[in-house]
Amino acid sequence: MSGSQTVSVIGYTKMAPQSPPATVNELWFIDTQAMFQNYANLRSFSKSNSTETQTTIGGVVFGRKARKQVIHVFFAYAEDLTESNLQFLESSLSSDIELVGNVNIDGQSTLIGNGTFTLQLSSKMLENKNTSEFLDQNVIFNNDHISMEGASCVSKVGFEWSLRAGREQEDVKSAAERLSMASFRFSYLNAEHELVIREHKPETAKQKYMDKFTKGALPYKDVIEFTSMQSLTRDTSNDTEDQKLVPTVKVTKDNKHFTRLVTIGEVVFPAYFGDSSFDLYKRAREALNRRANNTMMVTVNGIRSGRGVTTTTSATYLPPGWISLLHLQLPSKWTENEQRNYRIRLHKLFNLPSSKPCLRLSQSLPLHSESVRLTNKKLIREPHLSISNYQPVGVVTTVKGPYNYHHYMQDGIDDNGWGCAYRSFQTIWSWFILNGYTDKPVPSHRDIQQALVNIGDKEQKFVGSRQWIGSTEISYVFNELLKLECRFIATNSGAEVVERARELARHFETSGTPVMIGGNMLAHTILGVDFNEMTGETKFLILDPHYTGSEDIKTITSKGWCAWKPASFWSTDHFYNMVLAQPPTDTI
Amino acid sequence: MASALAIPVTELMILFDVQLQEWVTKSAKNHEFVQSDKGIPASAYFLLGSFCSDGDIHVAYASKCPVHSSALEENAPEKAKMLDDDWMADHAERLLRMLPGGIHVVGVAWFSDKATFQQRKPHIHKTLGRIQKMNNQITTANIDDSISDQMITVFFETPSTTPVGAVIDLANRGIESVQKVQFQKLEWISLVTNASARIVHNVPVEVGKPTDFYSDLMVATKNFVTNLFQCEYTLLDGEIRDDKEPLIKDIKKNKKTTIEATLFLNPLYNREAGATDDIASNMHEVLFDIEVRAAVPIRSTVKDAIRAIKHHLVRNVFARVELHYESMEVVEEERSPKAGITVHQLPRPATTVLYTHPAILINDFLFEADNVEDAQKNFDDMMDLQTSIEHVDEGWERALTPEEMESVRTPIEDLHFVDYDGSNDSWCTTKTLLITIAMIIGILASIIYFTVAHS
Repeated sequence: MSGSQTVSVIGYTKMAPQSPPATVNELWFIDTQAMFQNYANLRSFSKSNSTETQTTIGGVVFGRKARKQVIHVFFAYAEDLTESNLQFLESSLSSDIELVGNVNIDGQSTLIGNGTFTLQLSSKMLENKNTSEFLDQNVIFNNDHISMEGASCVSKVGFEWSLRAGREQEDVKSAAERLSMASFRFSYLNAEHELVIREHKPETAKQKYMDKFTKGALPYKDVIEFTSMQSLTRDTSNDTEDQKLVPTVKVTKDNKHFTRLVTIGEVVFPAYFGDSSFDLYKRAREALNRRANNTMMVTVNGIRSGRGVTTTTSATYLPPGWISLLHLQLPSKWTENEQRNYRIRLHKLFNLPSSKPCLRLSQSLPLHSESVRLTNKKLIREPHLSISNYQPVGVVTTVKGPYNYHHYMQDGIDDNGWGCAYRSFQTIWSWFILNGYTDKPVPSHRDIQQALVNIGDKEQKFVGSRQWIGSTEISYVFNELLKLECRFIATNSGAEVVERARELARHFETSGTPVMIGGNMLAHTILGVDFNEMTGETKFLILDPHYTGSEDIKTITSKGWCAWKPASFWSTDHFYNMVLAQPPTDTI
Repeated sequence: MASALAIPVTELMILFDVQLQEWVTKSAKNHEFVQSDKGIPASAYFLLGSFCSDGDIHVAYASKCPVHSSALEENAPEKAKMLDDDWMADHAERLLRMLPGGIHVVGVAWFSDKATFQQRKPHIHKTLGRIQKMNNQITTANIDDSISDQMITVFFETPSTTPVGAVIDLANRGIESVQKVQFQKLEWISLVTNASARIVHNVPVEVGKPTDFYSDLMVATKNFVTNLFQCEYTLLDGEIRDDKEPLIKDIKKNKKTTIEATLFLNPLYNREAGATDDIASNMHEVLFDIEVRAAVPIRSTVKDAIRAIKHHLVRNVFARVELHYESMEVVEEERSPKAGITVHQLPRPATTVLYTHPAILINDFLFEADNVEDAQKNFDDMMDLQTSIEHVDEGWERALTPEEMESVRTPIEDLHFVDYDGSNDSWCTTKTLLITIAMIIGILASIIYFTVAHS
């Protein structure tokens, strides 16, 4: 394989024609709607060059062979159906997911990879999202939603590559290869739970090794942290010779110019209920191999495109609609424009939406205790997801994407009695961070006040005061600090708030940001509406910034600080204004 | 009043293995003979054993410090008959190199009359000070805590066979305190593992600093050794154990004679993400794959057992580096046809067990031209171990073949193992690679790609 084939994520490589894959008689599970959505996502990007307009679309299928589950169907234009892209895709996925097939659309796709099957698809079927037609043409499949499951084992691993000047590309590849070969040397320890994941023979595996932690677990929130260790000791039972070699000392005098590249990677691998210690070892090893491979590819691309040797940061995502995690190495020193282009490229490769960011660093999951976080890790994220016993009265629409719960008395600031609108503003801002629209930290009360002074809305003495702000001020600050537009819904009474429920529902469906509502000298945050078209019954999912207690999710949900409220929650004697912050539509 | 209460002081004990009683009788008689026959005023023995976790000092074996050959000549001057501290310390250093991790020269036993002992005491203490320093150097590279700041003297006022023990506090100007010596049945347990790595050090360009092979190696391995000692985890029989726990929880019920360890390095040690350009004048690479057989008293804690294993590895490497360095003065460096590359092969081990304590495996190191008889002779000369040739094992390691030497000479980046076909199942690919490498460069492959440190 040539160098360019190994590492290019962007380049075009013509593939040799493949022989038709063997027929498979076992039944596989696939979520056809997820597949159709991926196709729609790819098609939603404007074609970037003339080649794309002229070429066909094909694809690759990744899944779990043992469970006969298709996890991802990624579509791509013919020029992207290369071995190197395939390798890149696989090394970015969870270490239990591998290539299982490819895609043939209208019988014209370039077929790639040596998977188990080929999905027979047509453009019409994909555009019409026609599941029946798919099942008719692909008889080994069952359409089924595949549930997300398993805990995430996470660990930080450091590795160091010495790259000789002028030979960096070759040396990066060679170093990554050596690291992959030595990945059996890495062990993962958790002293608290006495867990050891390391090289061992299958026959000595411990069954159901982590069942205590994996039952009912979900990979984005149930995390077991391990300390990675590099083993000096190896299993010598398979050595071909009894005798070892004497130690050697080599001295090379060469005045070598080199770059020392140190990467601190985050190795994440899934643990499922029923896994043996050997299953986990294999997965841990593969996860490290994939980190090494991914680091190599991004580094070589950087060198090749003239950006020199650059460091990369590990980032783990759960993109919208995915049921497994995505693991990337993001270049840390590229310019914003270079990074943006890279993200667009990744959105296309992974068939992510063209309309909103999914791969900003701020959207990565802070799985490790030392992971980069742009928001305060002590805050409770998405408390409404912990409301368990709510019975909807109609159609429920809620915020789209994560946010943090900001309320009175946080950050050592006593704002009891005056800070509710500030806190609602901070909750909405956290949504913009966590959904990838900004890297700017959540502004403090003082920052908010200063912004209002800067735009001339308030006098200097306002900074540091305990004065309230309202919905208008909130929209000013969003506009000043994030250049965001806000829509307003103004009402003359609480009854009118209820009448605007349909409008709110549309907002949550399209924009999906939390809504600040001010009235009756109070500010609240609306996170969703439950609206019955027939009866008109309406309920509002309210996040109350007036809470002064600790970050205790049980108290917050059981005592009504984050709860569904009836229409009577709004006073009929007061007017209310709602601020609907609008996320930009051209940001990735 | 609380301050009036007497605080009981736990004193360390000097415990001699019960089998040493016979040695005491024999040595006392022997000294009487050399004193009367040769006029040798004192006989000294190095006490080999362990600084046990509970503070006691366990002695497993005593190894005679020979007198200089000139002392045995007729009409030898009185001065030549005295054991001077340089002579004793040099001999102890050679002995230290032979000992496994966990076993040290813990002190000196001295047979003479009282006056001679008193007169020579400053020299004995000086010798002990030097032994402690050498032990820390060779066993910890002065990176881990001192092995022990206390060593012992045990005096036998011949013809008496009653031991008079003393503990010398080397960290406190050699203050000595008298301690009782007891004979007990002592037991050691074997700690088994292997360790292999490729340590790489890019030597920064610095003008005007003369270097030598030994100090270069100290610098090259500093990062590795520090990481090794600071690494918080070592598995014992596959488990993470609490440092403070006793190694053997119930000694009476214990049936284990060995414990298997897994040694680690911390891959995050001394590393921060970044890309930095640099220039290296030289590159030093140490490639080793070593079997480790350390030994500790069965009453040790987990912490001390783990330390012993790490000490073994460091001592084993540095003992060989020292020996090789000493030999370089007489043996010309092996020059590679490739300009600028020199490969040194370190001596190989030959071992034999201490017959009274099979957990303690003694090492000798042999150069390429040496054979098993040389090892047998060394064990006899150094430790009076009259081992039969069958009990000397020199099969642990061998020198490199010319092909293996060529592989070592080639820069690792230029060793092409196999084309990496990422489209295959990567677990299988890795296996295939391992097999392929094994065919190319034999067992060297098992370690060659495993780099543990750049500096």
